[in-house]
Amino acid sequence: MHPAFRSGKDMIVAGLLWSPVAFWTIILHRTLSGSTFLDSTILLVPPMILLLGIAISVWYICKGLPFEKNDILYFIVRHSLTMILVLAVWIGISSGYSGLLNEYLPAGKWKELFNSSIPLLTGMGIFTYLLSILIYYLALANERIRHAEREILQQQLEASLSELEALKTTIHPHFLFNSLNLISPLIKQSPDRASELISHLSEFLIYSFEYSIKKNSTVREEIEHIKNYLSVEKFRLSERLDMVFDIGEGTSDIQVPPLILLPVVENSIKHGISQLLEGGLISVKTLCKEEHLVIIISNPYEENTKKPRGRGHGLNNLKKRMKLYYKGEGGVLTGKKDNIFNVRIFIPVSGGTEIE
Amino acid sequence: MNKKITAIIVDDEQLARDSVREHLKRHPEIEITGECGNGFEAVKLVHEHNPDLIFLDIQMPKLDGFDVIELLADNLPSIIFITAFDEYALKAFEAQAMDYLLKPVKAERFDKSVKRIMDQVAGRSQEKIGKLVDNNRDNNRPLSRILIRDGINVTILDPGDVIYIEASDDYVKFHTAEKYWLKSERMNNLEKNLDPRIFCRVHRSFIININYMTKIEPYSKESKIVKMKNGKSLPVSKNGYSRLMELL
Repeated sequence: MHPAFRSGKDMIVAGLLWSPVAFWTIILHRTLSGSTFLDSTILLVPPMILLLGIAISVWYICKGLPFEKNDILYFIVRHSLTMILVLAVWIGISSGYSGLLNEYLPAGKWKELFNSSIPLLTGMGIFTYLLSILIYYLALANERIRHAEREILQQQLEASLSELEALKTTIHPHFLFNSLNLISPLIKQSPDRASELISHLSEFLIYSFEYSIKKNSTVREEIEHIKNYLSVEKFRLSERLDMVFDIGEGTSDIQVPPLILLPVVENSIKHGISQLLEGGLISVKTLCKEEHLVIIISNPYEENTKKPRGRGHGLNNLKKRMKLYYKGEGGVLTGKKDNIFNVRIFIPVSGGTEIE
Repeated sequence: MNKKITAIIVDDEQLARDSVREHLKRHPEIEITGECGNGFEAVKLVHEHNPDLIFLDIQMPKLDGFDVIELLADNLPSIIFITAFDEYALKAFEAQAMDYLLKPVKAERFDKSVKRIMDQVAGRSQEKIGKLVDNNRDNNRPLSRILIRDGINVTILDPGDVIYIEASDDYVKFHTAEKYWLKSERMNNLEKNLDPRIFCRVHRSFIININYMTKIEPYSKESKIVKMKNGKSLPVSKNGYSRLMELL
């Protein structure tokens, strides 16, 4: 949208800029040529209105030719040529207008009067052109800054929404209900095991809630967290759930965003293990590879089982979070092979971290 | 009543089964004759023990509680449903005003449900349970699997493998490339639940899978014959023909 047409206020500003330019051109013309104020006005007002039109259209030239520091010469040449062309056409049309005045008005002095004012008009034209592009480039820069600000705000909003979503899945009510349901029969059967379950659950909850005020976590803490989660699930699924952890050397202390592993293992349980009659093995492996920390989580699954109902946003949300967090440097890949579903999380390792 | 009531417990969680056993200690009139952790074994157990009562969990792998009921439809004992918090299951129960126990089960609620069952001589209303199963099917989506019980064995058929379906008294026959499977179900009901983009009711007694169709031939003035990939020829009625044309 053209800056002069965005609002009534902008239009008034444009008019206020133009009027003194037009007024002073007429005054200057009268003084320089010694003609009357009326004559100067008749001769110059239409060309000045045309000049305003030109000043307005220059916006589109500016938009198509962004100001770039590294190509300043091209920029100047383009604008100079455009300006010369536009002003030549303008002066040509104005000269035609003075010719018309000669024909229709008495005292055929107009053409002559116009020719004597060409230098003045050229000066004013250049001045107007330069003033317009100055204003437009300032407006464009301003717009870019506002756009960038909006973009940043948008990204921050999206990031917080994903974080919020992640937090919501952390305190999944079904998981809590299921765990509580386990405790009640266990208390009678085996108080020791009940207390073991409760301690896993409470450690799980502490970490999940603490996360809301933390920005960073380590691989060790994340693994501990899903171990607690899986230990609780083990009470529910008993022999149907097995797990194995293979933590690569030097990976434990690498910093990662908190709660990236939970949605993955939740998914493994919900869509994998708990849908299988015999259950299966969840395997978690971490390693360093070419400046990335790689975390691989896999579980067996079966195609064509009745889909568990639910939203299943966990993995998608994780993908989104990782994208926002690492801007393409890190990410999440999923794959299926021979009835094994695997999720690979890639996290860029910043320079100092030890890599094998 | 001198005779003991026999019951089986079906739940995929050992602890939950233990919990039911624990509650049943207060009810010596109920004898537990078996327990199992999935729907397949549940069907087997019911067949072997013919229990009066099942404590049936809803959330189980592959065959859930609703599937088990569907498979036992012709020989259904009384049922006490036990479910974890699950909005879908709860909705299904509430829609049919069915009694159910929510985990963790409170002693008072458990005893109430057991007493209600003991009072019912004939068990609960079959009609209600049938509706419950229907309701639980996702009404907007076509059947993604067909559950079939053959004695104590349960088979899960992929509708895509079914060449055609034939009505046979109170049963329907699902013909696949290898053999056919019998299931107690009505054609009209089945037709409603099948994927209308693949299945077409070409005749009062036949529904075909159009992916297995080879050609249509005229038979008489009013009727035609459709040839299937397995070599079978099936009759097509006048209405069936227009339905088929519409689909193609």
